[in-house]
Amino acid sequence: MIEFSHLNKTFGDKQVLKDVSGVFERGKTNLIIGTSGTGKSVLLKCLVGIFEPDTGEILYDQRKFNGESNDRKQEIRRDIGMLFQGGALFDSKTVEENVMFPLTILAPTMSKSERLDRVDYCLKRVGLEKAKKLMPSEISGGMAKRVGIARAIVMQSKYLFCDEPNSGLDPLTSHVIDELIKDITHEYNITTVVVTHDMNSVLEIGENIMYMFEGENVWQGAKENILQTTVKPLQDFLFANKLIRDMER
Amino acid sequence: MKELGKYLLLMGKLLVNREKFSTYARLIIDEAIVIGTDSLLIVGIVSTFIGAVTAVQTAHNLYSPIIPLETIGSIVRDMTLLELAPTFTGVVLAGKIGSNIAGHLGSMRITEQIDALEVMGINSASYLILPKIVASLIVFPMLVTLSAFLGIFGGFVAGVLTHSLTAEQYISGIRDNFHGFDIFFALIKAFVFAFLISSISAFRGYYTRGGALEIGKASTMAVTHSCIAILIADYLLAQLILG
Ligand SMILES: Nc1ncnc2c1ncn2[C@@H]1O[C@H](COP(=O)(O)OP(=O)(O)O)[C@@H](O)[C@H]1O
Ligand SMILES: [Mg+2]
Repeated sequence: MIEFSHLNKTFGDKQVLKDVSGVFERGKTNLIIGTSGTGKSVLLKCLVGIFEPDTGEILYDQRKFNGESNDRKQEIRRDIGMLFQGGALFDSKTVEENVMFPLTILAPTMSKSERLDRVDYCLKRVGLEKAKKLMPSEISGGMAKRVGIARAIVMQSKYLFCDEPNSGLDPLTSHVIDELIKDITHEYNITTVVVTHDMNSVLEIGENIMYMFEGENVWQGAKENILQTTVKPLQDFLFANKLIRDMER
Repeated sequence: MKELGKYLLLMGKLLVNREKFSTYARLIIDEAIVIGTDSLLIVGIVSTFIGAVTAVQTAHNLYSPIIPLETIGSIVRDMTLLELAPTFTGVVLAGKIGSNIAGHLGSMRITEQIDALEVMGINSASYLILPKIVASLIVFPMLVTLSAFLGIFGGFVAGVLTHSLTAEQYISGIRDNFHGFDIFFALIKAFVFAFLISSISAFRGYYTRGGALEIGKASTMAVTHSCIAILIADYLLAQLILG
């Protein structure tokens, strides 16, 4: 479980996060939804420690994260895996080396054969055991995301963060990625947080949903309750998405 | 001014929370090989021709019967060692290596590869930038040495081919009145330029924000800023050490 309270983050004179609080539950796919530019990625990056929030508190299963010493943070980082928007694979390393990389950095005592076994297992889990020796420039966007997922779970992470896992993918591939994220979450009983503005994903994999609007958390609850919302910006968001989906049909 | 502060902060960040030495050793060797192979050919060509041009021009300007022809050799040697080899190599490398460093870091930034390193708790600045700077400090002096050698060699070929002087005269010219300090001075310049080019270019690339267009801009800025820094440093070093 990840709890965070009163997070504020300002860049220059622009306040991007405004007193954001919330809870992400274990064993569930927790979604952050909202229009572009409302600070979803910034929230995610604060949670994983890429940005330091100006104020507020972040707890990973009661363990304090932000503001702690580097060693304390490193303990928690071993449990964090993240899938980035474009996959963010290291372009000078092969698929296999990419998945191996967190192990070499975060688990230096692990033996070489153990590492190779884990990498094999994870690549198989995302269905890419044949792509091992390829370079990131030689694989498709959907494959890059799957490698990104393999890299994110290779440390047997307890927390999985995904920033727009579907952006730039066709609907079919999107669906595959969504299913993979959902299955992994339930299979390993981990806390998964997914940023998305794709309503299909919301309906398919969303369990606990948080809606962000202009840097604020304006609604959080279970998927079943989202349609009854009285929050105006969320109603607009749902309506706009309904229109688009109706048109697609 | 604010940029300068940010640059200095980044340089400070390189030295804290580093990874193990063995991690860097591997990265430094890889970078050094890339920098070396990338620039060997262009540095070689530029240096040989610059030496040749210097020899021909000096011969052309120097047709007084009281000055011995050997002087052409001495002049080419001094010009090459003191100024042409380090500075031209610096400018060429600013274009070649500087834009490469900025482009690489810029694209790593834009595609969130830098964030991916940070999530794992790696100090991305030192992990990515330090090996590039150290590799430059190792390889640049080698390239400047090569450049000086080829420059003087280019002068020899041009001088002899144009019958400006004989091979014996040229060789006795470059041996005449030679100061070992000049080599030392060229190497100091190489070190300083190596640091300036790699760190300034890394700074421009590391803080890229936006998209593909900004990567291009960061590369261009890396080259222009590095060149300006080199020329200023060149002047200051000349004043400081020779003045
Ligand atoms: N490193 C940064 N420096 C300054 N501003 C930033 C930075 N990262 C994001 N922002 C700003 O924060 C706002 C929210 O961005 P983001 O979280 O990426 O939105 P989204 O909800 O689409 O993911 C944007 O206006 C963006 O310009
Ligand atoms: Mg985003």
